[in-house]
Amino acid sequence: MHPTLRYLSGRLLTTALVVVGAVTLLFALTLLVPGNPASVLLGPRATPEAVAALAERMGLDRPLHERLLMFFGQVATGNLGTDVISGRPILTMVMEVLPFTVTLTIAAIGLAVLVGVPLGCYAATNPGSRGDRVAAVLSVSFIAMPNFVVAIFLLLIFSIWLDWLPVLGAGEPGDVLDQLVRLILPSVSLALGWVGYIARLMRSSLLEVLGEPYIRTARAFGIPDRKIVYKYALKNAAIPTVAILGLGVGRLLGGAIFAEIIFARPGIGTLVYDAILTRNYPVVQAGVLVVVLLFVLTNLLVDLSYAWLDPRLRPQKGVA
Amino acid sequence: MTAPPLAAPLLDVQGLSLSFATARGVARVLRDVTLAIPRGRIVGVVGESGSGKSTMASAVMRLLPPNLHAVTGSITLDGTDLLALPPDAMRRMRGRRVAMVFQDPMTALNPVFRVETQMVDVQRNAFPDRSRRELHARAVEMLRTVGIPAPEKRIRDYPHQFSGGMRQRIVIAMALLCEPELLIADEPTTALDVTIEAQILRLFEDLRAGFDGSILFISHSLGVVSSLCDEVVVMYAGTVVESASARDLFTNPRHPYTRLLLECEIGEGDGRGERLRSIPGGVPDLFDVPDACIFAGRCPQAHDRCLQGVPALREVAPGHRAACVLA
Ligand SMILES: Nc1ncnc2c1ncn2[C@@H]1O[C@H](COP(=O)(O)OP(=O)(O)OP(=O)(O)O)[C@@H](O)[C@H]1O
Ligand code: SF4
Ligand SMILES: [Mg+2]
Repeated sequence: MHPTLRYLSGRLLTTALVVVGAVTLLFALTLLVPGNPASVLLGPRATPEAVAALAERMGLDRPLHERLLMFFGQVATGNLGTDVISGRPILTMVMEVLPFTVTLTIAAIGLAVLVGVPLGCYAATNPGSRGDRVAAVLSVSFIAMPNFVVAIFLLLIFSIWLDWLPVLGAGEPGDVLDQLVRLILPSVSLALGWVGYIARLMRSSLLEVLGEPYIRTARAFGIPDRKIVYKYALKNAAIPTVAILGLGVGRLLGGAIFAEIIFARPGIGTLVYDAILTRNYPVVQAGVLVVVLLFVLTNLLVDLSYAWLDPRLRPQKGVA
Repeated sequence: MTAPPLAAPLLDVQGLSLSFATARGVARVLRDVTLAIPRGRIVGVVGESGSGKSTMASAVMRLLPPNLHAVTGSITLDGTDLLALPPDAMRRMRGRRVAMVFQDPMTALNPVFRVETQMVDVQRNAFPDRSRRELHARAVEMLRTVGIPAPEKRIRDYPHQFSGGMRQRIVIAMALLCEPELLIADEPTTALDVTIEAQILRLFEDLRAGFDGSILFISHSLGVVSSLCDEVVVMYAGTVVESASARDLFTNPRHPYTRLLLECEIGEGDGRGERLRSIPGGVPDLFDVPDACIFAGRCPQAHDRCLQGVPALREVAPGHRAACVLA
């Protein structure tokens, strides 16, 4: 088999194993919740007949292994069942709000990279300067602030106090400008900590790379400083940052849940939050499942991007 | 700027002194170094580890470490005082006028870019008007010249896909592509094993014919330098102790240090300069340099006069200079 194919299939296999593990854990979640999920869902005033009927519909009367298999079957076919409260397919409910969460997360990552990377580059190329020290203080305070606190402050300052930006919701469907404007505060509140994180990380890895012998070689051939930093050094220095970002996507998705709740935006976060309040566990499961899949997928992408950034990690045919 | 007379050397280093700031104090790494490289010639610089060869080369490139404390003296390339150039003018000299091949080929190339990218980019400074396609074609041809098989294919590879010897050939090719007036090779073979070293040295000998710039060739080994170079400069602990044509230096060494070097190498027979350590005594302390001959502590002929000031590097025969009171 071609080494690249072998690498890819190995990587896909581990991804599949992670997904299987996550789905099993999600299934176990329903077992850990005290009480019968059907009666929990229907509330204290439901008749025993109604509970029994719902339990049967949810398959709760079957043996455990059958239920697990059923659950896997549902996940595999994408048929996550029907929501008992609204009567709509759960998959549709999740897919409706998924784009909002994905947009918010991508906007936050994009913002963090667009601000954090240049900030780190500036600090690394002017170490010890006033700008470097200001960037350090800013970065550390950004990192130290929990993002829901940032979200509440931003909301108070820009929406309520200054009244510059609209407060809540995701904007009118079809009105792109309105949607973008309403994306600003939530994505800034999510991104701020990451700006600090990426700036610090970029600074230290870039400083290290700039001391490498191959950078000296580039200088010895008169390659301009700008090109040395932004081409020759940056690609090497990006590797640790990409690694951290890959791991960070999980935390960003978690943060997105807070941002969605605080800014009353539709999304997986609000969906899961509302479902938890109404003890609608199938919807919670579906929401968490989608987040897990997103996380696994981004990690796969991050792994593949390593190979793009660092050719030494690519599968080898042999060295001459 | 008026053109210097033809007889003037291409590179003229005069009274170069240089020190670094360290935790222990100021290290006076180069002291009053004077050497000249005539046009079209290969000049070898020999000396044991720590004698300041790389520091001298880095000073010519103006690629000195950030803990540089002070520099005095002058480095003139083709009439231009390099030490006085503004940083950007100095940057434009690099590659185009003076290029350098470093000691360790394993770390000299950027691991995450194709050899092609790096070989094209290094030419931009020397040939800003040529198209990428032209620069690529030149790079392929130069790889062929330095002995990389199937260059049109291999140029798409990354550095880690080449062995150490091949990487050194690539770096040499990069330097030659810029057609510099001065090529500095800082121990280009020290990191390689003996057979590869011989191949790279043969490559330099072959290149002599096609390259009309001057070469400053740094080495541990008098043997290597004498077969390749026209002239040889011997350095010891940050100073030049002797300089002469390769033949004069071999047949008639005037400085006791050069003589010991020769004896050691002939005695060891393998021509590799690491054996210099067999000269008894230690390298002097660069933090507290005495006002005396720097070699006095290890010199078999040392006597009272050697401790009265630093002996000047003076002409002891036409074209032959030595810094020893006895020479
Ligand atoms: N940045 C620096 N700071 C302090 N001391 C330094 C620095 N760079 C070099 N030195 C010292 O300067 C002296 C000369 O070093 P240099 O590297 O020029 O020697 P060299 O002749 O090239 O040796 P080698 O054959 O091992 O390459 C050494 O004693 C070294 O420790
Ligand atoms: S000056 Fe004296 S100590 Fe120095 S090399 Fe000559 S004889 Fe030896
Ligand atoms: Mg050296």
